[in-house]
Amino acid sequence: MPIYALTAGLLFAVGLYGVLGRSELLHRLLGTNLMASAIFLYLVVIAADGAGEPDPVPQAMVLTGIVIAVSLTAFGLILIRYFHALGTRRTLEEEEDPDG
Amino acid sequence: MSGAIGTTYDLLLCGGLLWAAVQSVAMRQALSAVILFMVFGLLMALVWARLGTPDLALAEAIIGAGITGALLLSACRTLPADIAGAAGEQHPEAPCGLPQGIVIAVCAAVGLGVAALMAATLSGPGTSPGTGAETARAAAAAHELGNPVTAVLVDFRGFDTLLEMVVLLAACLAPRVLMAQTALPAVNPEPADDSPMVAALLGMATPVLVLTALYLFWAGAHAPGGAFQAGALLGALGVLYRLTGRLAPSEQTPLWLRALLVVGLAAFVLYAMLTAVLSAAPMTLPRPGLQATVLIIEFTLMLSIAATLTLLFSAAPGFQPRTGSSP
Repeated sequence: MPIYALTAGLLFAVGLYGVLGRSELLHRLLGTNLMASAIFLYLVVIAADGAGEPDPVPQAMVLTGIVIAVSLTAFGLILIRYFHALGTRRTLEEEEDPDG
Repeated sequence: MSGAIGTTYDLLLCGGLLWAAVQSVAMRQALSAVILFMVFGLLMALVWARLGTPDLALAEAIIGAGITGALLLSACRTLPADIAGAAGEQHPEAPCGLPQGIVIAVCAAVGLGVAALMAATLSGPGTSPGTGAETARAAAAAHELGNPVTAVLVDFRGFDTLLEMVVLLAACLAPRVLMAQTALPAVNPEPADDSPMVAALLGMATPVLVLTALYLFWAGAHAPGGAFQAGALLGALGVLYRLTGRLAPSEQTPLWLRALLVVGLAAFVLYAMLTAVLSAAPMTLPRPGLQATVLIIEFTLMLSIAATLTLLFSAAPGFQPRTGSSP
């Protein structure tokens, strides 16, 4: 399934843009999730490559990965909430005045 | 699916996936970005189904589109109004250091390179028959458990699953430590006022969700499903109760919640220690009583995953049922 492998690569690039090109923290979190999805897709494409049933070992790893991704997303969102609750800055840019 | 239709389906699916991803990261408003990300999760579930991995399709539909979406939407409510999506004053987004042109060029180059590499490895020598993948595939197919993914999760790669439970527990403890050690304000928005529709909806949804989760858990041994999908579904139910105020956040972690959080890990560790003493190698399923052992492990894993996801959604040290009529 080469088309899914190509999609995985392009998806990784989209996620990378979300992390590097956007300064909103929520979009960066979405970007990391997209990159994770791209890697999951690639693992499963490898597993489904060839005849017969897909290889169960990468499937189990991706299943584990999906659950870990959601727990890390939840943790990231809590950090973002605190970031907004503590101040009005919503990006990681340096500010001139020390108080923010 | 026959050739031409199958190819068209693949093209549409991949195109839709990329479109939703691009729109999601490029969208100015957080709310639109989050909704597009949920669309992306649903398309991803279709991709898993297309690739012949129904276990992943179930998990992605419940977790990727459901729980992650609920988490992100709830976080949107706490964001400042202008980036969350409400109309009003608009602040320009802060620049990211590098000019957008350079960032896009770098991402495009990386993407094309990675895509070419990924496509090239498919026909490469690494995936030829006779490698380890074939052996694992054959061993899992011949396993007593009818579902090869469950066989890998509990039997062949049990250590990975054990460590995954540790990661889940750590992700749950990290915000708790943060809240306990610092004097941060509460970030829990109060639930909206109760409407009579909510009780009716919950009355219908609860038995259906619990029944579906128990079925997924029970079927996991021989068909698509298992502890992860069932636990995520129960976690979604917990999120529903939390959203509607039936579960109230609390400053302390009640004892029953602590027990639920660690029961999966504890059962797994106990199983590893018992098998290390009683059988040839640790984490080898005992051949008589295999089904019962798998059921016990999966059931405790399901409980722990559900409790962890609900607690992560709560963003509080704990939660407890709010009994009786609303105060």
